[in-house]
Amino acid sequence: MFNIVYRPFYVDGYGVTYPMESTNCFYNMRLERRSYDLYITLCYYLPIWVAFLYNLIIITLVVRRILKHITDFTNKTQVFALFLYPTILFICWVIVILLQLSCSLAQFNNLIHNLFYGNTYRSFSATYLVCWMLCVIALLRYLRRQGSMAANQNIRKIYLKVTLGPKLANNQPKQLIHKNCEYYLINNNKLLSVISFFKEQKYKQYNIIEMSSSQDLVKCSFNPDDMGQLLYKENYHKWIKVQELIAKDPILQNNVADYGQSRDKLFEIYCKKAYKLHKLLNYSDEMIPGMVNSQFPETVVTVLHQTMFIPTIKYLGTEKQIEKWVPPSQNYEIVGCYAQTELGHGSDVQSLETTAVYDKNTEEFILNSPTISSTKWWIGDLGLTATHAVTHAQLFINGKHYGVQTFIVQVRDTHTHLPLKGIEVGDVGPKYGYNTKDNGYLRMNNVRIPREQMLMRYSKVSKAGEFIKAQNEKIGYATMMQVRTSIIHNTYVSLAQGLAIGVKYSHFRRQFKDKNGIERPIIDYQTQQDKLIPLIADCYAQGFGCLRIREILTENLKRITEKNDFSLMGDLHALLCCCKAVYTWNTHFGLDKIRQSLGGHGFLQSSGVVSIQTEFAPSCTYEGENTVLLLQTGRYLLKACNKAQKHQPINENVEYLYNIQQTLSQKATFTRAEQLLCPEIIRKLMRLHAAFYVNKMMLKMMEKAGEHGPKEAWNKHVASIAHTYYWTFKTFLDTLIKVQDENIRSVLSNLCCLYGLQRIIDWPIGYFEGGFLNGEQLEIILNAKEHIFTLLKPDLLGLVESFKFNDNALRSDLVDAKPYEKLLQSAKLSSVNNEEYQNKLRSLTRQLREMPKL
Amino acid sequence: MHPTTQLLENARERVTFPTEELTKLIYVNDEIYETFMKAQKIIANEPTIRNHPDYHNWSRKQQIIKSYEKLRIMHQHFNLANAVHWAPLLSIFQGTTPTAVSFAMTVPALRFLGTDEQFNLWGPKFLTMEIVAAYAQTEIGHGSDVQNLETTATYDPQSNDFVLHTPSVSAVKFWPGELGFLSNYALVYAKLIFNGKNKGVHPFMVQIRDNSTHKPLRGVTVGDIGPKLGYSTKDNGYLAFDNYRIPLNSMLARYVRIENGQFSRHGNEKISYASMMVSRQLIIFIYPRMAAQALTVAIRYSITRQQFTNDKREENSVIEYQTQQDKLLPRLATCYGMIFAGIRIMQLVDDNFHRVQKKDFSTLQQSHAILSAIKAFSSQWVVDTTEWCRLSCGGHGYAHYSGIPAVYFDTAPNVTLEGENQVMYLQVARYLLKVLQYAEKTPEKVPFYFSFVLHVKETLANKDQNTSLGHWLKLTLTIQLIQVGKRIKDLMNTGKTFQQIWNEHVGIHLMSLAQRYAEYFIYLVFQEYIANANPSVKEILQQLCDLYCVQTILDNPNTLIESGQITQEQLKAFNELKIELFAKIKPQAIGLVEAFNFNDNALRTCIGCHDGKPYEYIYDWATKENSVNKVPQAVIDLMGTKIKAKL
Repeated sequence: MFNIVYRPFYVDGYGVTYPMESTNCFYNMRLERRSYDLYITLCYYLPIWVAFLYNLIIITLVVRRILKHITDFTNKTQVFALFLYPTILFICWVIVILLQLSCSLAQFNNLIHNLFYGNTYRSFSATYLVCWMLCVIALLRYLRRQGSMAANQNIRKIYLKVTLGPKLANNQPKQLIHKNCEYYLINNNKLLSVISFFKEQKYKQYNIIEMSSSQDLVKCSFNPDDMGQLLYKENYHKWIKVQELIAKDPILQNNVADYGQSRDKLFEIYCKKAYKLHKLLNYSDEMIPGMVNSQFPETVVTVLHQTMFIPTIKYLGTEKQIEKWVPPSQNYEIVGCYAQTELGHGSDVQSLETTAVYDKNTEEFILNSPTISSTKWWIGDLGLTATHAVTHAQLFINGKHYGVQTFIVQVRDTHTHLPLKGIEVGDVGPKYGYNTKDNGYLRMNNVRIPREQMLMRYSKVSKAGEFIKAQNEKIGYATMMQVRTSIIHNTYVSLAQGLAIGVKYSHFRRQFKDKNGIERPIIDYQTQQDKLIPLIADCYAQGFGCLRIREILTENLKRITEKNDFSLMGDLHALLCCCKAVYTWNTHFGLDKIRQSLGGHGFLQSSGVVSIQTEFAPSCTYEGENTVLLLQTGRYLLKACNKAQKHQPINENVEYLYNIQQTLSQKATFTRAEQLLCPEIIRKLMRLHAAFYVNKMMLKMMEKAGEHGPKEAWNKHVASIAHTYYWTFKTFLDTLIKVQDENIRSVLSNLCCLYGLQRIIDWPIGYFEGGFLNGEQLEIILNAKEHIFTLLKPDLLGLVESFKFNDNALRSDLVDAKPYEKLLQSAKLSSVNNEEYQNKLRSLTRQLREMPKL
Repeated sequence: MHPTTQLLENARERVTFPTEELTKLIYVNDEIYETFMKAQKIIANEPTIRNHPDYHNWSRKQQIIKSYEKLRIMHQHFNLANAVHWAPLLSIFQGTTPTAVSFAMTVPALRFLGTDEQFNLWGPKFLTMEIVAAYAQTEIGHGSDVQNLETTATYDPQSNDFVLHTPSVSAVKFWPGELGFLSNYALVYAKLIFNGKNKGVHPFMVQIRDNSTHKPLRGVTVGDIGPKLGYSTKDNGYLAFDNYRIPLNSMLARYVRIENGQFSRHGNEKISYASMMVSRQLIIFIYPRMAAQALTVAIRYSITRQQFTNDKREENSVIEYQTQQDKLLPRLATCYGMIFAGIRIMQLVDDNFHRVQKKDFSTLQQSHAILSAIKAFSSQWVVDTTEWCRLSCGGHGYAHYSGIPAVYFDTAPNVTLEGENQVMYLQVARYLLKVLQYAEKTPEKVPFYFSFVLHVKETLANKDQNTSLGHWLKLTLTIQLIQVGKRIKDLMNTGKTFQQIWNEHVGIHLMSLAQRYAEYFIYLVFQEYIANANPSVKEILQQLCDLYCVQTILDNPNTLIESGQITQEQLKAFNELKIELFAKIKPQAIGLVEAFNFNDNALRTCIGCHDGKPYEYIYDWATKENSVNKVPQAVIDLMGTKIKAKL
């Protein structure tokens, strides 16, 4: 007989067990040596080894399956293994008992009655019981898992289950609505009908299944789908569809293994993605590029081709030029980029140094980069991909200077993709984020392009070299306007994405035990709320602000193309400038705050927030540096102020500038925190604030008239920020008044108030200096903010759910149903953990140890 | 001379104070200064490890290989066990120092929590790299809340050893630095189960990898946790145990002991903060210097960068713009405050250690509170400052060639590591409330840096408002402290429990209170430094301190406004004062940043070099050192043919 010295052990869900350790019944059997050995082999070692091998196979199978389907941890095989193992063990035991019975009944009797063997018997039956218990536990677990699996699948499908059956609500929504009555009192004359409407309305209550370990039901007072419709308007279904398409496609899906790759490798991956995307989606739809970009941790190659290159040609090109350039661009026969900024000059377009000299004899322009600082720099898509560039350069004809004009320059051969003669082009190097964006540089040395390649819808150069000036030069900004609008839209999307992760994880993550010994979800802590809830308000405010800007933009384009009417241009430009600046800063620092609110895990790439933040970061400086933009709005406000004093018509956005002195004599009169749940009161305050700063700027300018220069920048800067806050708040308010659904309106009203209050709390000096608020009122504002937190807390999940991101888009391990398991899985997939690479590191570590030290 | 070099030289000529005096203050003593300068020089001159322009194009794998090379060379030149030697390296390297955690956290923990025999057993091996040990405290489910860690160490009386076990996924050790592949030991914090009873969380020194093969031992699962925002070469790892047996001697036994099957405690357990204090102190000491690097780049670049022509048809340096000054100068002023506070705290902590070793715990709480407050305050400030420096450089700040993104990435984790900031602040607030009680009952127990609580009435009377700007910081702090105390008392009367109030009702106020304290402390240290400084730099330091105070007041005037302690005129005056100070400090700015003496290699920049020429350098790097430009084959394949063919 083989003599096996050590016992196998098995590991399963219950920890480590050494099977049959306690069952020493056989040792005491009075049997001959040989049959004893046989017994031991048959009833002891054999079943154990069988079970052990079985266990091994199952574990291997499970592990293989897990490795294959990393995303689906709760698969049936695993449960099966849990369930079957104790059964096998049990069967083994039945065999043992049968053998025992057949051996000798008398002996068995003896076994039961004899005191000496009694112990053995008891330990035997204990094991027997344990076996059964294992079976039962396994069964229960299996059933429970099946239940949660079903729930998980539901969540995966629609992510969140909304039970639509109207239920009678608890009092909370009612209270909310009542508190908002004050607001309707001011804004709605049909108060009585409204109130009676409330009484008849049966309040709906929506249940949301929270994505957390406890599977708690979380109540939400409104339907997130409806809110989503409000946020995305006509693009709602497109938004969901695009996300679905990307999540389904194996090439497009986000993959944790992509993080930490070198730039050239990443670029390759994203080229493949870009190719696939162009096949799947219609990129000439102007909404698509923005939607797509938020879906990936890195930017998609060739976005600027569609968002800047083609629009510029469309706006600035003649019919003939459009006909020539747009169709091949749409077919990707050529790929373009927008080359404006130079190494030495960004914001200040008029000081660009690149030159274009007209040569009458050949009817060509000769482009040159005279200095190092005139090198075109930062040009997106230029570094590796583009074949053509819309280039801005100073035009000279016969030695005379005619300002900055736009030219189409071919930079690479369309077949070999090599740079053309006289052109030096390449990537500008690694950056903070944007790893897959090939921001490029471009130097031109006597590059000749035909006269037709200057975009000549407005300014023209004739064959003979005569320059015809444009009637309205502002039109050059048209492309910029489109792009700024999409940046503003992105401030909303990126913040929303960050919040979706932050808020969900804050409901899941538990820290510190309360007095009942239960750890509390971190969203319960006021400090965490203070980080996240105001940002939700900001996010909605920016979202609605962007929708409004889009409307104005469409209106403006309509007026220009239909009536050649440029009247809206200046107002829109000023609005875009200040909103772009204020929103991008807010989102940028907001995302950082969200990342920090996730604790250490936020620092991981697989948390998802990191890539959102690094991709968003350049927004503060590209397409117009924020500070410079604010100064432009400041200048606009000054002009408007002058006009208002002369009682000339000004845009409705700055109506507060009429009778400014009279306006400034007003004061806030509220005395209780409840009053501050009425947005109208806050609107008035913010209006005063904006008026105050514009007035201050005006006074300073008059004081120091004549001494222009860098020193007076500050007042313009603050005035435009105050103006932006007021405009955003007003737009938010205008939007929510039009909302039909009572529940949504009351939540939005609270958010709107919070947006305003947070602005006041963060920057109270103006209110105080202007005498609109006193100290006690500021304290009331603080209390009101905390009150709104408690009102909003139950709806937080619903509010982020309304952004309608799917799992793939959030690409975050932290919003998974089991964040910790997911984090660990992603960690194991990290390229550094690859065995081959680990071996390399091991040898390096050994070398380090053996090396002599100081 | 190159025009931008000329601009910088002109600016340098306008500096009116001797910068070497400030350098002396910044680097505390000659040893630190000399080592730092030597390190800068060695790294700049060693071609294999000098900072590489292409570094951020590489994959994480390549960067890690490079960091091994660095570690090898550093070992030849420095004694890495000495913080004075390795700490400055953090700020002049691409990537982090590979053995930092081992020396900054594990070794001190061994010294303070282990017995002398234990320290002698392991300690010397660290020097020869025989042992690199991670500090494995944080778990995937628990960070700040140490008492709820889930990893268990069960004492087995039969074999007289411990069984380490990870019972669930949330108990897996996650994040410890150097665990991923470098360390062969780990200091594991686990819940000690002794005879079925929970005896609290204790550290265990555990071998996790084989000495010769460096492969994980049986029962240990260990690996790297994947790419992060920054820290790409740091192998933060995960670690799980499966009934892993470790000898009795593994438990660090200075304060708890298991002898002859009996569990006993010795001495004061507060000391277990000791090792955390060392690393927190380093965070405060080093990282403001990294912000200074970002400031150096931003200020030099702001001088060389010219935008928009003025009336004389000349372009202005962007530093002439008020908006640019507002981004940089207040932060420069605060930077000096932070640096001084870092040095002062280092002295406080050292002093405290000497006392603790003599079993004198009188200064422990004070040092802990100050340390926590400044750790949280300074780490957040460093991140924000770096970010604003980046933004102030416009588009070029976004490029890694500016050197600023790397600083941001490598300082960003400090906000959450070694004690999450929010948790830190709450501890400070708790201590402040306690000190307030001392003031009423036992004034002699109030520590020196908290003595403001003894003058509550005088402060609130607001009489000496014209004497110093610091008064306003003190006033804000006092008002907030009194208010929070009152608020808690009021809420207690409504029948809520203390914990409920603490978490749900006063959280925001407590955070704010602790931040105000940090601000006030920095002011106090600033004043100490001004008092002891060489007369030639007194004036500039006073201006910096004033700017720091004014900015602090203007950033958070809410309390003063609410309580009616400040009038509109005073607020206006503060605004005016700030602008005056800008005018005074602006010409000195270049001297203030160059007092730090960073060389170009340490700054890893091409837009803020000593001789200016931002465009020339950035152009050189992009065209000559950029590996992405060399491999566009994939692009040619994909962009050149396929898309065109099918679309």
